[in-house]
Amino acid sequence: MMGIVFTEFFDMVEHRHGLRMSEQLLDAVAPANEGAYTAVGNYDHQDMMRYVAELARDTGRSVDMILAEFGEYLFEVFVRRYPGLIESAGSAIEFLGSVEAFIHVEVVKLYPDAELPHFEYPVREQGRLVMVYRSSRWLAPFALGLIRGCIAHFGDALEVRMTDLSEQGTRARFEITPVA
Amino acid sequence: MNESDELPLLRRKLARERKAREEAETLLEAKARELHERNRELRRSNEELERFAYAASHDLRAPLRTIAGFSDLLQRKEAASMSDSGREFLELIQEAVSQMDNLIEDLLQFSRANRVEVNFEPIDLAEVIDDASDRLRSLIEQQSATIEVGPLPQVSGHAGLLTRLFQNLISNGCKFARPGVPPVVRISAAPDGDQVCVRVEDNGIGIEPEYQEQIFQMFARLHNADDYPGTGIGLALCTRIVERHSGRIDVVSQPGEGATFRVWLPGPAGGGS
Ligand code: HEM
Repeated sequence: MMGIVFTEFFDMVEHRHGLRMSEQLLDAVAPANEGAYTAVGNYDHQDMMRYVAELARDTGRSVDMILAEFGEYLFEVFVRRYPGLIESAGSAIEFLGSVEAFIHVEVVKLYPDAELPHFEYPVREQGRLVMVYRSSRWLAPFALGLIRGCIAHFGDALEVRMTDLSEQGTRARFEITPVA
Repeated sequence: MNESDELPLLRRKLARERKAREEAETLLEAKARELHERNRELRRSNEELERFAYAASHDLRAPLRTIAGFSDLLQRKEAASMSDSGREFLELIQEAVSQMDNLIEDLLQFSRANRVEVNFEPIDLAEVIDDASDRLRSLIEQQSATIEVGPLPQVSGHAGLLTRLFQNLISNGCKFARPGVPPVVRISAAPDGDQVCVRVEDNGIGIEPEYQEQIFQMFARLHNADDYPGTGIGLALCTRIVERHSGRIDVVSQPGEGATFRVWLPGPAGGGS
C-alpha cells in the first residue's frame, strides 16, 4: 500500500486524537520500519489494517467507521495535493464517474506500485450514479468515505448508499442519488 | 498532557520523520538513476531506429535504380513493338518508380536532418533562398510561378538544412496553386526578439483551420496524389529542421486565400543548444 495512505492516516490520527495516540498505534503494531513512512514508499497493507483495528479498539468504534472517516479525510488531502485532478470535473458525479478511466489511471503514472480497486458503472444518469467496487482487498468502507468526501467537496445535494455484495467476492455497490 | 510528557513524543516523531526523509531521498536517488538509465536506452533505441531507417532507404535505392534503368531500356528499345496497353503499363511503372524515388529521397533527407551537426554558423538568408529557388527551377517554370524575395537578414544555422527547409516551403507554395491562378510565393523576414521570423506566403488553395496542425506530422496528406503530388514528409522534415535550430514553425491560412508559413530561426548573434 502506498506510503501516502500511511502518512495521511497518521496526520489524521494526530489531528483528531493527538500525538500520543499515534505512538500508541505504532507501539501496538510495531512495524518493520518503526513508523518512518514516506508518501512515495510502498508498505505492507496489513499494517494499515492493524492500525485501523487498533484505533477502532482505542476509540470504541467499528473498523468500517474508521475506514470511512479516513476516506473522507483523505479526499480533502487529495484536493490539496492534486488540485489539477479534481478541478477537471465540474461536479461530484462527474468526478466519481471518472475514477476508473481517468483518476486512478493518473495515479498509476505517479505511483506505479499502487494497487487500485476497479469500479464498474452500471448506471450513469443525469444526477444519479451507481458504482460497483471490486478489489483484491476489502476497502469498500474506505471508498464510501472517499465518495462522501467528494460529495462534500463539490457541495452537491447528493447522498450515497452502500450495499455489501461480499457474498460475490470483495464487491460493494454504491448508489449516489439526489438527497430525498 | 503537560510539556514534559509531550517532549519525548515529539522527539520520537522527529526521529521518525528524519528517517522517513532519508528513505525518501534514497528512493529519489534510485528513481533518478532509473530515469537516467531509461533515457540512455531510449536514446540508444532511437539511434538504432534512425540507422535502420537510413539503411533501409539507402538499400532500397539500388534495386530501384535497376528497375528504373531497365524500364528506361524497355521504353527506348522495345516500346515500338509493344501494344498500346503494354506501353501504358510501362508508363505506370515509371511513374511509380519516380514516386518511390521521391519518397526515398525525402526519407533520407529526414534522416540526415536528424544526424547532421548544427553548428550555428552565420548564414545569409538571401543566398539560401537563391539556392533553394535554383533547385526548384523546373517546378517554377512548369507552374509559371513567381518568387518574390524581400530584403533578408542573416540568421544562424546549418546552410544545407536551411536550404532544404525553404526549398520545401517554396515548392509547396508553387504546388498547391489554385486552378488557373499562377502561383506567387513571397518571402520576407523581420527580427523578432533575438530570433528572425521568416514568412513564406503564397496565393494558393490555403489550408482548412482543422488541418493546420496535422500537416506538420509525418505522412499527413490532405489531398489526392493525382491532384497534388507529394510524399507527406515535406512539412515533417521542415519541422525537424526548425527544431534542430531551436526554432518554431506554424501556418496562418484561410481556405482559398493562400497560406503563410512562419519560421522562427536564431538571429545572427544567436545559436541554440
Ligand atoms: C484525486 C483523487 C484520488 C486519488 C489521487 C486516489 C489515489 C489513490 C491511491 C494513491 C491509492 C492507494 C493505492 C495503494 O495503496 O497501493 C488509492 C486507493 C484506493 N482508491 Fe483512490 N484515489 C482518488 C480518488 C478515489 C475515489 C473518489 C474513490 C472512490 C470512489 C477511490 C477509491 C479507492 C479505493 C477504494 C482504494 C483502496 C484500494 C482497494 O480498495 O483495493 N479513489 N487511491
